[in-house]
Amino acid sequence: MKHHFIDRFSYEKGFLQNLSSSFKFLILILFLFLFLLLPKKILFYLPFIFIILILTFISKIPLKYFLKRILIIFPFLLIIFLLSILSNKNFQNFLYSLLKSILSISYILLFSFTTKMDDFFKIFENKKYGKIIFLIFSFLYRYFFILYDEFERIKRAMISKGKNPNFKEYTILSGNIFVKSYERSERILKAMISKGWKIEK
Amino acid sequence: MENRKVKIEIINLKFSYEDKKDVLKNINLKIYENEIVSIIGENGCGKTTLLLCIGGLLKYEGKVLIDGEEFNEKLRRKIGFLFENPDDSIFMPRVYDDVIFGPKNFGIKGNYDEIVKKSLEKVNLTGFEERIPHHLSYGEKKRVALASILSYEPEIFLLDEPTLALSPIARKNFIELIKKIKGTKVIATHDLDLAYSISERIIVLNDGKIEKEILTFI
Repeated sequence: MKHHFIDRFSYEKGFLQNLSSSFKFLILILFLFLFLLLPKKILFYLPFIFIILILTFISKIPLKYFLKRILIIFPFLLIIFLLSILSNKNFQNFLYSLLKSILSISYILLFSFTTKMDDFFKIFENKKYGKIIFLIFSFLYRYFFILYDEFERIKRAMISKGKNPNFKEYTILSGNIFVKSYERSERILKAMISKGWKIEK
Repeated sequence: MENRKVKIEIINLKFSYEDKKDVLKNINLKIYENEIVSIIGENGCGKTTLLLCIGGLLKYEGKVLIDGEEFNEKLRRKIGFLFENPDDSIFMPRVYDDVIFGPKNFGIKGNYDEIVKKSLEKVNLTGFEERIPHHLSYGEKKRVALASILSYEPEIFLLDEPTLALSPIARKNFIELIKKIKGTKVIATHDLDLAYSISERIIVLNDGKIEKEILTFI
């Protein structure tokens, strides 16, 4: 099965792809903090939007694809909007929350699109307790797509037998995926042990 | 064959899963050094279980002797296990890390870059070091899995369905690769063509017992 991998543009030769992962990560964190502190004046936001457009262009990320991915955030923004109404705050608050969220998600997406996941995990590898984080995330990233494949395969099998999955079927499907992923983890453990890996490590 | 050194000796091997189903019932078998043995049989007859027992990955009743020694952790380096599904065998973020996983764990000293390069060359995947395993095709994943065991140079290869789900060309190439590898090989397979073309001896398993042994005169 073919996926749109998170780091699908990281193999392109663009501006962001050429920067080191740790440097990009540091800048990303700084920017995220900066967005939190930005005053509620539109002028402060415009340069960051401009930078996003420039970076998208020079890093060879298709703008349409990029904008589509930003839309993912909208269900969450709806919740923020409802909360802002409930807490009697004005529309301006919502607007600036929206802008901050869009800016944050845009920079996170730019980072993830242009950084090889392996390079990203390596930022943590040599830090204290980083090895565990490195292992957890690399396994998570590695197996998310395999589990997604299994999910799609079962879903297709259901559809081929005339059942378009609804909530009930998705519950069964999730249970099935859980059991399958457990069994898979056992097989992977066997493979690791066969190559000399020891649990106490 | 009797003149050759016994590499693997299985004595009264029994194995049952927790649901009490007896998968292996009193298996006795000798496999000689550098011999290629195929194990064939119906689905669920115990082929994979037998390989897992030889590889010391299941707890069983009876004895499995490797070079006359009962299985222990030190012997693990002598065994390379190629799992049926390559997605189970390769689990690291890069091909490089997968290939070097075994040598690192077994404490093999040497130039790791060189080990990876040589192992990938053997499976015709030169230059794949930086590739991400889950971006590869099924055939490439199978070859990476093979490279990941070749990297620590085991003496015994346990190959579980090595040609399963491969295209005819990929299958042919993979068989050629297996033929080139030096060592004792035990292959669990449904591929009778593979079994007859590559093995010196074929073991037919049925319901957890050895039903027949066939010499192929290779």
